[in-house]
Amino acid sequence: MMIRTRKFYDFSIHTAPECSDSPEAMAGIASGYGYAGIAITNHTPHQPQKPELTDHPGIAVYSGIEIVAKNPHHLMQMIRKHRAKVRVLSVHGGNEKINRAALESRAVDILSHPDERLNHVLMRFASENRVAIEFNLDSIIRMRGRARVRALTNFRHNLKLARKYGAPMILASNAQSIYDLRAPAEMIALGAIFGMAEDEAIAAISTVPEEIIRRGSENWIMEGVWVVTED
Amino acid sequence: MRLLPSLRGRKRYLAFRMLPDDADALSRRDLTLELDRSSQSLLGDAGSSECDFRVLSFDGTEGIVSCVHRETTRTRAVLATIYEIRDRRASIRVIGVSGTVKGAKRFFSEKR
Repeated sequence: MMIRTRKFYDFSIHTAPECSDSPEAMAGIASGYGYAGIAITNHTPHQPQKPELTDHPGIAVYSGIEIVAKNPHHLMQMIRKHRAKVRVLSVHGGNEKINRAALESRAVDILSHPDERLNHVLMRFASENRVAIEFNLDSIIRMRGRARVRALTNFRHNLKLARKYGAPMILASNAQSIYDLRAPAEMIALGAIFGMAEDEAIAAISTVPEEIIRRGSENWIMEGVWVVTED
Repeated sequence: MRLLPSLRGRKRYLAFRMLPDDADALSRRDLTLELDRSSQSLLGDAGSSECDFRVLSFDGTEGIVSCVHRETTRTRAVLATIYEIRDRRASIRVIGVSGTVKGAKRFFSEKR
């Protein structure tokens, strides 16, 4: 089965000091669920996780940050400040202007929970700049009724456009505690709820995160060009 | 009512494990109620009847849910949307899917 041979990643996880559970506890649970790596992306007043907290056997923990910006100008300042320090840089979306600024920037890896229907212009930016559109499954897990209906319709819409323009998509738990984590197969099943095909969902938790990590490595030069080391 | 074995619908048995794994306080009834609520809200009456799942066994941490054989994805999604049982945080992870109860039970003895 295809699922068994892949490596899976969850790139939107909040831990202590922002939330109560420690990075080690999160990594332990995620490793038990079969993830190969997670990124700790706390919101910005918090400092990024110290890089290379990778002493956990069996799972890689990448440093990340989720930037909360007041306006596009502020966002650019924050990106400049944090880009060199983290492997995974995501932007706390939700506001029209912030969403647009994030997708226009090549330095951004993930636009976290855009919370609106993106249009064709933004999707094209996402595709060109390889900014992954996040489908935050916590909204399907935690919300009920009308709020969830709205979230699912937004997901469907964004999925349709992302397919059309080839924008990278990423499925993430946006976990705030160990109980918010879901195993890869469950993530794929939740993706199917809003119409994501199985292969798309698998790509969204394996190849897209891998691309982000590759881009952050020192061997990477530009899209399609990287230094191959022998080992 | 008894039905010829060949006429019975095909099923899949999902073995799952719950977090927190010390929850002795949770009974099979608690889980069934929460599962109903979750499927009601995610799939509605029509969707739930298509999946036709039921909790076969649950001991507080591990259990087996059966469903129609083609609906494992939707059943998984319903299990994944459970986030709270009796006002305590919980999450469910499917550890294996099998076509027989015996096969599903085998997943429990595998490593954690």
